[in-house]
Amino acid sequence: MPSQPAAAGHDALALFEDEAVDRFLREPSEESYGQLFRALAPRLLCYFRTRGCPTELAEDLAQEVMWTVYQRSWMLRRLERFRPWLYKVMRNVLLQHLRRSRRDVATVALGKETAELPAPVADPLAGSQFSEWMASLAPDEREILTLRYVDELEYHEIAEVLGLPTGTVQWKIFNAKKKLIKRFGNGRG
Amino acid sequence: MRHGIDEQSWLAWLDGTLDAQARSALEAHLGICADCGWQSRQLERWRELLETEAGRLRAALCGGEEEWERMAWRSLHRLREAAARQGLGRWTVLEALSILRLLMEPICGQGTVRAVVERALERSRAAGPALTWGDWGRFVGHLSDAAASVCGSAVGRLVALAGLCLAEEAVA
Ligand SMILES: [Zn+2]
Repeated sequence: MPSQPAAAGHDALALFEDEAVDRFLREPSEESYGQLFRALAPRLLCYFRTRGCPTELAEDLAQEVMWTVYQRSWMLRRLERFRPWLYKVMRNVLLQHLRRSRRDVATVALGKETAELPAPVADPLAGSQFSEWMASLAPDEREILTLRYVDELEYHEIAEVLGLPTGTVQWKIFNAKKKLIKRFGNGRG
Repeated sequence: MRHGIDEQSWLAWLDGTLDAQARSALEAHLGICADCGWQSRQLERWRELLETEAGRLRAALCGGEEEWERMAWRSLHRLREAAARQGLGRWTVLEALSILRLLMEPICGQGTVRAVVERALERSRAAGPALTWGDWGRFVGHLSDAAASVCGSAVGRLVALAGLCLAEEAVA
């Protein structure tokens, strides 16, 4: 079975994902679904954990997302529509969960989570810097910067996920960066 | 707007989409204006910082091969269990739906089929986003009605009959 390209760069990973998505959209089967799942799992886990979900919950929510992918992605047909659609599904699943549990999860509440990461992570505080920066921004700026830099979505994809004009997304990113400059200077204390 | 540079131009410049003339004007200004030069260097620096720190975060939070494999296995197990509960012999409800679509597409066209299937799905799901065999009869009914009104009554009858056969074959 094909596995994730080891230590692959972003482009290689994106290609690996695209191939798995394309294959599943063309021939939905248990086999192509299994491969799709393995390809998307890192993205799904990262999405939910970046937004404050503990590991186990992140896994459960990822399962919910993939169930929807299995049942509904045939509607898409075109590969380029998949990523924004996937993020909309993830966002809905997270919002539903938050409504169900009636509690607020701060976007990117990471300190404890990252401190508890197991051995393979070289620096146990990896990410805390990003978390600190995000905490200084408004929730919508935080979400947009997280979609842009952690989830690596293009401007137009972020616009589609959040239902905003692309220009608004660019403008908010620009303003958020100006706030970060004002607050943290050159970024390293 | 400051020093004659509006935010739209900044955005386009950062994005690399500013036209050549405006770009050389802006870059000439950056060369002589300490204030704007500083801002442009900071914006560039923060793009790099955010990329680096977000990359570290991603690496820390995306799990590992073993975790992905376990999750994939769990999901496949759930699919098989759902199929078994529905007394499914030959195909899943998703596959049955694909067969119906393939049957309709040469007659009605892909766009029309997508639209009528989507409408029938919205009307027929009892709960949750996923179509189940429990919803199948209601779904085929709605789809048959929609197909009849858009593509003619013969297509409506074809859909109803095929939907019935697919369900019977599934239980067999
Ligand atoms: Zn200036």
